[in-house]
Amino acid sequence: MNGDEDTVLVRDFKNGNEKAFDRLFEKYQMSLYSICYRFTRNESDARELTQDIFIKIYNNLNKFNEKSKFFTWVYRIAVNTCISFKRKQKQPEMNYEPPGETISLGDRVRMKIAIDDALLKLPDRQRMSFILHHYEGYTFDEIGRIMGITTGAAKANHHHAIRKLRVFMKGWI
Amino acid sequence: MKNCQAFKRKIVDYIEDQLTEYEHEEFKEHLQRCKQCQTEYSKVKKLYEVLDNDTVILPEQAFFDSLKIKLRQKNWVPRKSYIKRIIKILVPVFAAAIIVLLLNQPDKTVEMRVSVSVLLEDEEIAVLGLSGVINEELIDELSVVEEYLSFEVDVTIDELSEEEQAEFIKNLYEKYNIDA
Repeated sequence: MNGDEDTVLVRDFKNGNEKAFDRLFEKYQMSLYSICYRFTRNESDARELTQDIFIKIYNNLNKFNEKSKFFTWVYRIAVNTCISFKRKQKQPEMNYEPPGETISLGDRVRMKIAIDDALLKLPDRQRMSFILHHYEGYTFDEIGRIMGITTGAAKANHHHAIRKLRVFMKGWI
Repeated sequence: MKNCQAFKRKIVDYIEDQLTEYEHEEFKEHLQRCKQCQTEYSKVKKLYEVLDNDTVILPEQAFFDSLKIKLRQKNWVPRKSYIKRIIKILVPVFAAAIIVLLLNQPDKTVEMRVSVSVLLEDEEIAVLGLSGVINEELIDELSVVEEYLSFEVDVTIDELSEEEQAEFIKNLYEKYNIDA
């Protein structure tokens, strides 16, 4: 994370340089979308959430007071937006079978469905801790600051998530 | 020698390389001679491999490009503005309640600050705050009002018609004896 570059861009934006926001947007667009997708397991919801998150960032950037790092602020908005997001319709229950010895294309699809199903069964905060640590590579200390919880709680969330995923993915491991 | 339970708790940290050098070596040695822990370790390791297969298909660049443009449209209204709406309704109610109780019960007071940002659990977005000199009874009263900030009420208010919203505000005013 290049925090200094973010700070410069934020200050430039506050001074009226709209291009600075474009740089910030481009820097975070992929990872924010990935978090939204991994959290909702649904492309349409992920697009909607990404949009909502960027609206909040754009509309509130002038109020960002630099007390925290910019990426912490951005991810806090993302986490809060994802967690308060209520899925409009429940995901249909998927039937899947664990694979045989070799993994075919069909098995990969079933594995994807199994991962979707398993992650969606996790409580929101455990799921988010797991995504931020496992897929986005944040430390528990950073996750704690992003989610407004202690480092220990972030780590506990992650360990609980792994424990549950082991059960949910039983046929695949 | 530590029992297996203690080692099993460290499997995730071992896989994620979060153990100290000493713990890492200790775990490694134990793993080499304990079949039970080897089985557990293999399962967790396999889970990581399966989860690593999870890929995200990113949307086309046009999605991000159009979003960037959309953000700058002056007439853009966020899809969900219920937080702002609830603030708009409840801030005057809080403020009025504080003033009325301050006027009615000036003795034995304590100072309390209630930040809406805290109530909304989002310090960066909601920057509005409330403060006032109030007494202990009012603290109890305010804790009742806080319940109106629960998500379910948000949704309810969102779904109310203008007349119903007016009725809702009227009821709040009556509850706290505030002159409209």
